[in-house]
Amino acid sequence: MNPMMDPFAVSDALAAPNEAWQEAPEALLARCRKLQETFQSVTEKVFTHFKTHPPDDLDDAEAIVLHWVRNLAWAGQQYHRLLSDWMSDYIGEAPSLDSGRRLRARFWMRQIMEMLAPANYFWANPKAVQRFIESRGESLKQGLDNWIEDLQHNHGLVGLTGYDHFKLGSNLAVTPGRVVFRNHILELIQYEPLTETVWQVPIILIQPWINKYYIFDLSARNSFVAYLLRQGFTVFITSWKNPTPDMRDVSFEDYLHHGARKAVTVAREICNCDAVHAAGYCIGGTLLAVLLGWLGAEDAPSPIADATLFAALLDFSEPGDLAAFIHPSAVEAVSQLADSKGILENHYIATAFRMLNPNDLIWRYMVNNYFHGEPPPRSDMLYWNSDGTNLPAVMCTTYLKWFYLENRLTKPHGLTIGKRVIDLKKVRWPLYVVGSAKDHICPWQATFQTCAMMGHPVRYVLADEGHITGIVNPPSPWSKKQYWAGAATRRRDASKWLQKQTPNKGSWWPDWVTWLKPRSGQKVPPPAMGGKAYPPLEAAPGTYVHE
Amino acid sequence: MQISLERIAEGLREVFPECGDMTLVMETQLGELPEWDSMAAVNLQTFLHQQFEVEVPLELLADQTTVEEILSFMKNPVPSEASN
Repeated sequence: MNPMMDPFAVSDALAAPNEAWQEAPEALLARCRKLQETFQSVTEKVFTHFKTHPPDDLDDAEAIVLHWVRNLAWAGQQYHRLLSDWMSDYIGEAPSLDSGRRLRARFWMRQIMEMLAPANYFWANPKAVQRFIESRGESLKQGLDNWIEDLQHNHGLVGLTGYDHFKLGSNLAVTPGRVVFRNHILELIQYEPLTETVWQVPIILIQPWINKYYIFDLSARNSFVAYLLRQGFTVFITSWKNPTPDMRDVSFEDYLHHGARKAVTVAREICNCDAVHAAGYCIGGTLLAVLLGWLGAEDAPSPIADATLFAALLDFSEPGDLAAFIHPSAVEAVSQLADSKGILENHYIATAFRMLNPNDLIWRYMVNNYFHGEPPPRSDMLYWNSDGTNLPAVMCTTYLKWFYLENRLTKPHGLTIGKRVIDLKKVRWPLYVVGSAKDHICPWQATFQTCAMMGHPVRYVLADEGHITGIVNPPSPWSKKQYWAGAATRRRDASKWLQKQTPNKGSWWPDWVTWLKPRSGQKVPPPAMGGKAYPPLEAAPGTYVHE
Repeated sequence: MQISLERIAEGLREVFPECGDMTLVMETQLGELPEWDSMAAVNLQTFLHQQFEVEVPLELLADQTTVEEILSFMKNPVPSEASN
């Protein structure tokens, strides 16, 4: 098959278990017999259920319809669960299937099975039918309006939240600050201090540019930025420009030099300090690591005192569920798509991320918005999740090839920026690395490989929860979360490391602050906002975040 | 709307149809629910807010959290003990 007909190699992924089972035909036959027996047993159960659950009121037509819809839904669930479990085992236990192909097979089969869930079909969804009857069809009419709205204004992606309820600067991203620097890709925000004195060494948060920066400043009660300000730090954050087609040639190196490195320079000058605490999240962490490698290649005083990586991959050999999309033909197709427009539009990226969790980010909302005719719920986190950005064509292609396909940071002399070879072994600054136990995008075991790739010393923290909720993890009297933390310098075996750790209750944020403080110099009066060299341009959240 | 185990259980079944015939009791932990993960927690949070107009903090909705603890918070959203 022409690779461009199936760039994500879905057919190959789904055929892989079939090929693998050809090695064990008898075991496959036994498995099929078992499926047949279970199918028969479920069918008997369904018919018994139908016989023993007749309609209560044979005179009420609506009640009879609802009764049979409930029965249909119940029966559908029995068959769906049977088939899902069987397919899961069929793929999971396929002999001699390598882990990459097994992961891809599981991923694409999950898309199919979750799509086939009975609740996703009107006549197998009792609540949808009940609302239809009660509202005399109004619910489905409203659902149709919601669908048309999504087609017209949301690239056909189902709405996850009520977009009208949120306004940046009003009820999201409200921590007071000023944009103190702006160039063609970056706005740097400096936040107003919340303490009379501040630690001499400021924190720079290098955010991913696949989403907006304000995940670290969602609301007052879960703002990471506000928490750090209350601990006496001066905080800067990167707010990236949402790329437009004329930015097609913006490269990863541009994000390095005009983004992260420039932010460090500006913060140092404003705070009049030699070095900063630099922290990067997700791709922002990958960028920070490359910057560390770039700085490590020169024999000069470092502008970075220490570095922290939040849910960031440096070793891309096990990139979680995203691996389902990483295939040479897929990267080629994505590169062509980005090149044709100058950018990879954010709705493609959003679709890929939603497919990592289709039940929670696709089907649940299709049922709610379209079948039930309900507006999507209010959620600051889902609003942020929907507020994506484009990627410049050159940067997008480079990133996928350098890191996901070629895994260059793991190879000696694998990556050269300008004339400097990026050698992470030369990175000797203290490092704090955070992974999240249920992260589908940057699996914690993969983030743990950073400990062996970098120089030293390294403290590793494993938060529970996912890529976002593991990091946006505020201390709270209600917190039921936990984390594990300890030295991990040059360690490779994540499981062995974890076995020796004891869980701590609550948020890991205080642990980070405890680690930062001894490296933060003296308490001094807060620096002026921007200072003479960088007079404030406008109030936070600035301009780029609205684009 | 009155908050009760039945209403919470009904809500959990709505948010997690995969629960099927699973029995949901006070001691049921969120981590036991099929397909429970951090995005499911966000969805449960929004559902509880929509149904009961109570903002349950996301950090309470973790693997080990029981139905009883959610119910207890919703009836009396006051911290029981300090945690960092």
